[in-house]
Amino acid sequence: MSGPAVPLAALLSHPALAGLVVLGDGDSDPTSIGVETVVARSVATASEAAPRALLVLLTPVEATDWKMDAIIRQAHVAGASALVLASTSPLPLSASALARRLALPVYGTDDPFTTGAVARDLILARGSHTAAVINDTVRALRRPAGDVEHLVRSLAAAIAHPIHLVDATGHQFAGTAPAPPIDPAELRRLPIDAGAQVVPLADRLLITVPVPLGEGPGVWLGAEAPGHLPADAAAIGAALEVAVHAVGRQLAVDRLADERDARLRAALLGELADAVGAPPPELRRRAIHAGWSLDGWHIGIRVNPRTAVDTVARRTEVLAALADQGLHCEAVEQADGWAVWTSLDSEPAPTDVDRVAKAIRRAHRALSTTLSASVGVGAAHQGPSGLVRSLAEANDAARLAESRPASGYFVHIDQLGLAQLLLAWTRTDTFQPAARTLLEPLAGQPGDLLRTLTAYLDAESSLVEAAAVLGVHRNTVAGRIARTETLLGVRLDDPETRLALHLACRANTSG
Amino acid sequence: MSAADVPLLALGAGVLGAGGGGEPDRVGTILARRLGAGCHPVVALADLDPDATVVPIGIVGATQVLGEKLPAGVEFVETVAAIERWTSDRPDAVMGIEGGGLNGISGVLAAVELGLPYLDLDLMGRAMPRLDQFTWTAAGLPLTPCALAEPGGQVVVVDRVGPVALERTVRSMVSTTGGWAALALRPCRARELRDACITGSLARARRLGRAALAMGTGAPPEDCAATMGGRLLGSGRVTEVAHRPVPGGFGRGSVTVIDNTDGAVLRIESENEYLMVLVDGSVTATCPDIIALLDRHQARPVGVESVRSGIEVSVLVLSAPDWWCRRPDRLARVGPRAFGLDVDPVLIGRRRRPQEIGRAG
Repeated sequence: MSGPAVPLAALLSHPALAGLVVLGDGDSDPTSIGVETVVARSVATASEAAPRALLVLLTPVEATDWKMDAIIRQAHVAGASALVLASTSPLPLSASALARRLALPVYGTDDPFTTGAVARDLILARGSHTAAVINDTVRALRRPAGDVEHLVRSLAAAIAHPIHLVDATGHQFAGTAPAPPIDPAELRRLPIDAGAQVVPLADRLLITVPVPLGEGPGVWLGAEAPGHLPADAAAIGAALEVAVHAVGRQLAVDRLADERDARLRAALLGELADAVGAPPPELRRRAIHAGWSLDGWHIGIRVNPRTAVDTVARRTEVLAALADQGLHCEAVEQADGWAVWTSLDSEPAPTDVDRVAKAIRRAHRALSTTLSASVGVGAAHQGPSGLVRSLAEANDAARLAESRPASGYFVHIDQLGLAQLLLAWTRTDTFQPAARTLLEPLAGQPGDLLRTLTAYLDAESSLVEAAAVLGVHRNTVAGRIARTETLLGVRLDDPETRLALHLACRANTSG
Repeated sequence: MSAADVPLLALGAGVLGAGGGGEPDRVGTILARRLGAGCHPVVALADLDPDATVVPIGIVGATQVLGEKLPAGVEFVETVAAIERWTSDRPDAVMGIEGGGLNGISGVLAAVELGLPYLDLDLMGRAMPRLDQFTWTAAGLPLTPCALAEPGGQVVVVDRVGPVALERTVRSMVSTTGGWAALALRPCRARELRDACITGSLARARRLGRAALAMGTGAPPEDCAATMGGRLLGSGRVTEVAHRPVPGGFGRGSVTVIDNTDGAVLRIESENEYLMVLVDGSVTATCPDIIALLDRHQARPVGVESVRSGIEVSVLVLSAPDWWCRRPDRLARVGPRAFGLDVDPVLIGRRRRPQEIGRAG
């Protein structure tokens, strides 16, 4: 009985056959040798024909016995693709030289019966292999899993292949990272309602199943099988289809817990922000329970993704990126990103602040491969109110950073004064065109109206002061201001109008 | 024969030793000295009166010890004297017990020392390790009474035992005395010897020795095999020599030679002699054919005890003495199974399998 040829390499790479020891002719390329069947025999009948077979000898032969040479010869004459001996002791020189001369790969095992049975199931696509894998999978699922990572790990042990969970972007978030990573386009091409799919990749098979989450195929449960063993791939596919429901359920349970925690964290931070003066003891207790140390010095960090993301799901990603740079942080999900901070025991020296800012910058850069975000960093402030204040500064800085691609979407408040911050606002890509439009009517008019208006507003709406700065008579200034009001159709006694024009002037002159 | 023949005979006896039987050179040196400038008669069975008394003489025991425990020079004379006293038979001629190794010529030395003609007959036709591998045993003839004389002077006469018991007695005697002993077997009438011995081993040794000497140094191994009337199985460097002690028996060993023309893997299994050759895992030659390893450069036989990794050898097989192959019961005594090798004999010059030979005969 023989099936289509399976590469010897594929057979050898299967974990159940990992115990095979190379004894002779390790030089032959096992990918170029095909195996069609398994023949298990005692030594006495090794001379019967066994074309393209994995010839498994069930009785051990002393490696140094001359019969070893005879067996290798007979296996070669019988047409076997490879020989498995019932012993792992190294071959003497004559036997290994002979194996190399006859290009017959020789392997050893201490358990030839199991080796033979497993190899036969794998080559001949026996149902018993599938049943055994599913049985192991169900048993693994029966054990309670703490979280999805734990669940995926026990699945991997049951299926005996690396298992992973990836999202639609190809990002792996549980199990063993596929190497090289899976092209997400490959996943998107797959039908979502046809069960397990086998995707042949360059050097392995990817067997993958979409996880039913009720909102389309956001997550894929996959296994990697090295080599090309159709029987094994089918068994893994069946096992993954069984497992995928448990994984989906575990993901939902994990998500529920995460959502609850996120809500509690957001509420706590909100209450801290609203607290007038020192926070009440009850609030302090809850903060301590959440692991927040309120009394130290805090540096607020605001991370605002530039596209909509699931802030609950990806919070750990942000924390991990910061932790990689040696920053222990807290992060609270907000509507448009994360309020993050790191706490210090004592007032940080400028060099400390600089070090933290640099670490945040590195984390931001590392994060940018998977998550594009604007990041703002506040100044260091003390105590609960300091935390709230630094977070507010960070939030302002992050907003500012959104429109500053030149700085890598990163702004650190300490590096600009508050005034500069405001000024920086006026240089934003949205404000500048608006400023130009606003002051457009003054262009080309006699009397340098724009400069006069700027001087006037800079001089706190004092005609005398402005006239002194410009070196003209104050009546001239008054006339020009009146003309400006007419041309722009505004009244400068309105403070909001004054502010808007002042900013527009700044943008125009400095821009 | 004269002293000039001794180097040829020693060389040829070494080849017939099939790797065992002891190095004939030392016995050859003594023989050449005893012969001096004179000659010694070598006769054939036809030359003798059918009632003439013939005694087979040789050396048993650990043949390497011969180099350390030198002969006193009277051992052969004393064994014959002892057997003579026991049987009242006065020998008319001496024959050999073993055709190869040092016993290939020690019978001649005994004949010279006793002043009797040497009858070119022996009981093996090559070297073999056990006394039950004598042709007499195979032909159902008794070996005893026999006498042993060891170099320390002790003389033992053994009678009324079979070959297995005799073997035990001989081994225990030599192992507790000088390590080796001269052995004289039962004196017999010349007429008894017809078809119970190997004929012409000395002549064969002379032919082989002449061939080996004629080749000189650096002869192509194919020529070497052809001149000796054998077959070349391979020629190349010894890559591995393994010894495996066997509890209660002779140690086993194997020699691996990689042929330097076609890369074939030759594995030569040995005990005291070379017993079997596998070429690329196929059994290509077995005992009782004579398997010889010849030093590639000097055309000298390389014994089981002296073969080493790295030397260049030619692996030859020469046909077994025909006497052993004529009947299956004889072949069973000296074939591979007699040495614990579970294969049928593979013999050169015999197309038919031995079992079929048996049925046909």
